[in-house]
Amino acid sequence: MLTVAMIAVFLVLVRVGSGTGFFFDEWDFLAYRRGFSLDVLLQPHNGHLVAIPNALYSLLSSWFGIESHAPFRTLALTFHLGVALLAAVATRRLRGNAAGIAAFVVIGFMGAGWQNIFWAFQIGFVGSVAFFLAGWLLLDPASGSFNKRRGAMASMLTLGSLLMSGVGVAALGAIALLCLADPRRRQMWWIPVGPAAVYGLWHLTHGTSSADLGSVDRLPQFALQNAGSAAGGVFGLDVAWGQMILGVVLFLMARRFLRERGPVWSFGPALMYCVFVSLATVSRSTFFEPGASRYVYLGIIVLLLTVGLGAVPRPTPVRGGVAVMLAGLAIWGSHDLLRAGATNLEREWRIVSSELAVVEEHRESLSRDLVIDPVHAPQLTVGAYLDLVELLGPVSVASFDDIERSDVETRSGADALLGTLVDMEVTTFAGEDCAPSGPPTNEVELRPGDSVLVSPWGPGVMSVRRFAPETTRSASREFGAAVIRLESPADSIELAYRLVFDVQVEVVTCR
Amino acid sequence: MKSTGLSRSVWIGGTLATVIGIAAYLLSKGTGRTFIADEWMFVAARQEIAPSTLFADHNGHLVAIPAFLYMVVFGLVGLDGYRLLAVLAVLAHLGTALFIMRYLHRRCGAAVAVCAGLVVALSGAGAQNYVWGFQITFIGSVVCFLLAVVAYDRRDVSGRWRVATCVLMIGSLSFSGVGVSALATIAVVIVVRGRLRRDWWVFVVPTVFYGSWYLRFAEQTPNARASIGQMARFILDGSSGSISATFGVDVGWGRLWLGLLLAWMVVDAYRRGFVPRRYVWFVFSLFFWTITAFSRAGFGDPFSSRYLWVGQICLVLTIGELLPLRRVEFGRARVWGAGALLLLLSFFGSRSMFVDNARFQSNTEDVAVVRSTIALMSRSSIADDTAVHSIWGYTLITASEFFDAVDRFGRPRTFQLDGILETTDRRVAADVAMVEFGLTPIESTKVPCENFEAVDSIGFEPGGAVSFRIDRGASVGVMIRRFANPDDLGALPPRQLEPGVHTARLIDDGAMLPVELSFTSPVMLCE
Repeated sequence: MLTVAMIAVFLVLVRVGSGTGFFFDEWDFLAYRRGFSLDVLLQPHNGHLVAIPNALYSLLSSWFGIESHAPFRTLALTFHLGVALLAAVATRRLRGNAAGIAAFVVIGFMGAGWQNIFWAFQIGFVGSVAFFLAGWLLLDPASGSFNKRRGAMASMLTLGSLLMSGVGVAALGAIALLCLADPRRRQMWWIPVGPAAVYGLWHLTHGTSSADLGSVDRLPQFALQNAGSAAGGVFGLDVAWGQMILGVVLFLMARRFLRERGPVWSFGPALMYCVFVSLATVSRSTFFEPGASRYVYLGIIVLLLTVGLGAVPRPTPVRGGVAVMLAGLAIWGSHDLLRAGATNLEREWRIVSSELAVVEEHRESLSRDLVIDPVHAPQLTVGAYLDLVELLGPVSVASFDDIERSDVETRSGADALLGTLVDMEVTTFAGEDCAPSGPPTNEVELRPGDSVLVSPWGPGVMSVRRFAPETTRSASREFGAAVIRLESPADSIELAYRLVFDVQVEVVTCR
Repeated sequence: MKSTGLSRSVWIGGTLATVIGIAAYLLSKGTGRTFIADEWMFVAARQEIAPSTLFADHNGHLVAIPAFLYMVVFGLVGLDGYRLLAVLAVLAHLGTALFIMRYLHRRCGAAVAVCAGLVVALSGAGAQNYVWGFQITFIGSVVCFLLAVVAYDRRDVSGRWRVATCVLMIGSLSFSGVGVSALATIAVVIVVRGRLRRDWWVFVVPTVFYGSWYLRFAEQTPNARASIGQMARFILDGSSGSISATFGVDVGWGRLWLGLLLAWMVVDAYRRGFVPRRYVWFVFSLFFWTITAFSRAGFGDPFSSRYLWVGQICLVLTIGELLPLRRVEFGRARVWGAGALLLLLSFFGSRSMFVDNARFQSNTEDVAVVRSTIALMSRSSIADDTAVHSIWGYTLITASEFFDAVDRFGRPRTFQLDGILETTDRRVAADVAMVEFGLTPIESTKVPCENFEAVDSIGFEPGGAVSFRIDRGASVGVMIRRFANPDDLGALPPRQLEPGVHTARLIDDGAMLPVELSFTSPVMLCE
């Protein structure tokens, strides 16, 4: 049954996320962190140790190239389903098969955590969570008696969590606290020592920190917002309803806890979440985004595990029915978020993809230092992209000829880049027989591969449009009062550039 | 009542002293001087006790009893007796707190009762209801409902208690629209308890009464323009806000505690059995928020202090019903400690809301007193249809209605000149009133203007007039300052004048203060 559920969830997620492509930080991995040298692997990424994701990106790009995003996407889905599977295993052990499958499906289709499902770069975050869950399950007395082999495996998994992303620090903290709180602490104390030493060493040699301890007073608000977003996110509701649901969950948990205090290991996920929220508050205080999808993802998993393991009494047919109904509500309620998340990434890819098509069309004319898109791909310069393509083969970008027929955002993204191609040169009429060819105007047409002389009535700003009608983003260029010659390179389509001036200009023709 | 070891007289004396002390505190912020906002509508239209003045619709509410009280106060102490209404609102608020204390005393013991009563009495969350006399409308409805529930509890003692319930429900409906929620709750109580066959008339008579009023007097107000989602959010935010405002924390915490409370109620019903009576206050709050959301969610604020007051009372009573008495009795010392801590947290957490509400009330009263003063100073010069008091551009009382009321009941509170000049807000309000009442008119004229000199400001005496010319292509702003200091200029709203010749006048009202026109660009003063 679980296998069927896994296949079904996997196929649906593949289908929903099929239009996504490389996004944001992924360009960092592809363009600037290639190879398997220690220098590359240990280099921090926004303060995170990301050795394993870095290695995986290098591996996948060298095996499959970068023409298709599918291998990267599939890897992300595998990690995500791994997390769902581990959560299902933990739930199933205490609450039976049905509860396990319900947990798997709800986590699998978790719309509020879309960022970690469809954005392949998030394998770091999801991987840390997966390694933690595996280590936690391994050490939980319910999995069997403790021995050195288990301890060593748990230690390796904790190290794995640390090598995936900074979330591993929360995992390390939780595992360390659990080992110390466990009655078998004399046998277990060494488990977190190795990973802690490795991480400490890395931090001393390569680590950077953006922690601001002064922001610790924002911890309660961060926790309330994040946990509320998670509780609401399970059903696709907003944070306001989530906070109320959280209240219900906390009441049930407190009541259960007062009645029968479970083994210390049953608090593992909750403990890890507490450490994570504390770290996220102090290390990401500048952004303060407790409702970010990637953080909500962890909140939902912990919430479901905590409810599944501790907050509700043992299963009965009625309770099972209620659980199935709630699971159905969760999937139904959050499927919109799942689609919206995938659509959002698809949109991002469409924009960047069309810009990459412009780069490929005009690879000779564009400056190598030019940032392709300061908003959607600020990491990537023209030179870095062209090097990447030369090394790993082409990226499956949009066709330059099709940009004209795409949506406004995509067209304006392409225009922003094309605008930089219009060459502006200050000139004079000295010795030439020149005269205005028409009445003053604010808009001049320039055919690709052609040039035009304009005489502005004063200094001003020119914006360049080609594909977008009323673009939201367009390349703007300032000019003085002198005569200017404007020239554009030729390309494969006939569509003219429209040069829009904020002062009147006269088009001049010379004999 | 459980014995607490203290004699009855000590209890009564202590309670009385506490009530007087709290009342003095609540009235200590300088409020209660004159009518504001809706109250001027009462002054304008409810001067003589008659069916048409008692039952007239007020923003969709039946407000017969408050209207009666206002008319009695007008008749007894005139328009200058507003203090009496302010004291009445505070006493009604403290009466509600006393009711809560008395009610919970029997169920949860002295510690919970005293702390809960004091939390409500001192809470700043519902401050609007006790700093503004008009909110006797809300308080009255809720008090009648609370008494009606208690009266209905005694229905089997004597039939008179059922009559009392019925009368109290009519009372609740006659105070304000909150009574509709009360009526719905009583109806649910009667139905759920299986008393429909015997006690149907207890809610049917008030329903017929309200229905008759609605058909005859109610005005259709197109308030219900909210979607289901907006309404649900309004209910959630209002209920949560009642909890969080009690301690002055972010509404997110209120939502969390609301979830805890809901779970507690469900588990309690599961464990102790479902006893409908235990949830009567919760059901009332649900009706209250739902009906309020239906009529106000499209544009209203769920965190309005007057709504939070109702929600807070329901919250305290609901928790009181859920507390297991045996545990409370068992750990009496701990309950006193916890109660005292909650009281302190609530008092200090919500105090700023009381201070803010009182400040707002006091400032609004200041403006109202200033406007009444200016109107009375220049009575003969003000047109009949001038709005003496208004809110958001809506006229509350016209000059003719205002002077009729003054002739009938005497002058409302006014300031001496020194009083007006005391604060910036008063000085600015006086100058704004001068303009709005047409006492400093500036009119465009065709009179030829001989150039004299370019000036930035022009001053002249009462009864005088000056002409000036605006030459520039653009319009010029002018601030008319009579009471305001030069430092207050930034607070005065400028009036835009088009190019041309203008004449400004100041009517002679007997005050010796000159007026000064300050221009945003120089104008030419005419000879």
